[in-house]
Amino acid sequence: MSELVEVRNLTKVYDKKKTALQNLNLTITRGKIIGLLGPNGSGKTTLIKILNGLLNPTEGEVLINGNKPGPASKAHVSYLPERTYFQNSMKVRELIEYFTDFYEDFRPERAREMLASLNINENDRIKTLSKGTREKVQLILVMSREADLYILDEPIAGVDPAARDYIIRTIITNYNENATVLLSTHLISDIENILDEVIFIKEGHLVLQSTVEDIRMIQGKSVDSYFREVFAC
Amino acid sequence: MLGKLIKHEWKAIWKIPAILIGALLVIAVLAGLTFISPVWRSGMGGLDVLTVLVWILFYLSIIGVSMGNLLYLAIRFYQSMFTDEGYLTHTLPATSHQLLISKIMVMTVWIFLSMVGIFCSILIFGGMAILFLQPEISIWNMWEDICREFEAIGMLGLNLVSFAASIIFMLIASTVNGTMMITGSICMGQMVNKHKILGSIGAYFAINTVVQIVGMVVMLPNMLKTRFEAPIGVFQMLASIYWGMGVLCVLVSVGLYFLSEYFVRRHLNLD
Repeated sequence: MSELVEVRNLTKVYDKKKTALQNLNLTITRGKIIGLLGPNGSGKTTLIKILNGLLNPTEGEVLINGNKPGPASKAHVSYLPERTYFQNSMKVRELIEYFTDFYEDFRPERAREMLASLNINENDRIKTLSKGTREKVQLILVMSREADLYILDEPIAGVDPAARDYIIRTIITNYNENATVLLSTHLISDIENILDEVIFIKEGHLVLQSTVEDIRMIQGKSVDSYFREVFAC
Repeated sequence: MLGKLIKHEWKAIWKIPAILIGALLVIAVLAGLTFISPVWRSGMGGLDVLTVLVWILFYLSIIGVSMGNLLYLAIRFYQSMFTDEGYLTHTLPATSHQLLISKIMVMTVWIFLSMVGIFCSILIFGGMAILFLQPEISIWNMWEDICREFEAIGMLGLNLVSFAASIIFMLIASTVNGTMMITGSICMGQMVNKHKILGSIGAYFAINTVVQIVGMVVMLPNMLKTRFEAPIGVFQMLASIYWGMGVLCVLVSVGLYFLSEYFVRRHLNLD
């Protein structure tokens, strides 16, 4: 079975007023790097949160490896949210122990290697690290898992170009090749070269799900150019 | 999984409550030392002011430990479940039951340890007062006096074991209830769209008021019946009140647990 994620008739309405996702249907297969693209407020983060069990859908369902979001799916999904979720008083070493305890697919030696390559001391407390370093530590922990699905919410937003390169390199060199990376971003030109597939979402609706190759062949455009055309204001 | 969750929850929160309890015990010793030279026997100017200040500090420390630890545990629960930290908590491969039980167990232990710490500090303070003010009284003599008192009470028909069991049951039940009041109200507060903290505080007072009213309605007839129809003594009446309060605490705690679990499982909406 190559289907990893199935989203069926997914609707999310906030406070009975604001519809973030409207009857969304899509299937995500294994072994790909997929860009989840859309303008601000299009529903990307809402979809990601539902996939991770952080939000409950109003209607419809999502299945990951055939399971609804829960302990079974969370054991195989590695999630990088758009914010840092550490307890500030913890040391980096304690975070490695934490991930080792809770995730069977976590590879502490890989995390230590990456931390060392960035000269991050394992005995440093999170509160002593800069915002950028915290984000890198979080990315390292997330990418040190051998998960089936990596969900990365805006991993390159708000970082300098050098850090952006490091993040992209970390993603492509560390993800399990049988797994899928679902990556949301606005900065399409920076990641376009690593994407196999894209999903365009607009106002909670699926606009397009296509391979990058098809966009280039059929539309004769880069993903970035096509995105600008589809979402032109 | 539950064991790992408890281990990490313990590691995350043990320092502050332990420091507060440790500080209280030190202050209790300092306050007790003031009895070496009590103010009413001292002619030294300024010593009386210092003594009173240490006693006030001791009093404030007791309040600090009971309220401070409760507040700290509430804040930690809120942060780990419903703020940015919640993004990690709720993506662990654990059920909502496991998450809640681990937090409730660790919180309950710390609330209990706070009570034990306060009790010990009062014991230290009182013990040192007796030691320095009435050195002729030995601890052994005091223990014998207490035993004699209990024997006398026992002869009046009171079952001491049953009475002690009622107190222990009530203490355990009310400690768990204290934890559940915190977790329940914080979980209910998340249903408010904005001002979730205010919602939690409001929920806490609302639950507390309802429990007090229900407690009075349930307990009052029992107390009156005991008092007027079967005058069996104050200890029997107290025992029946303690059992009743304990049962009420258990019922409220169970109700709040399932309510909290329901909110976490079905209405988790992290911003």
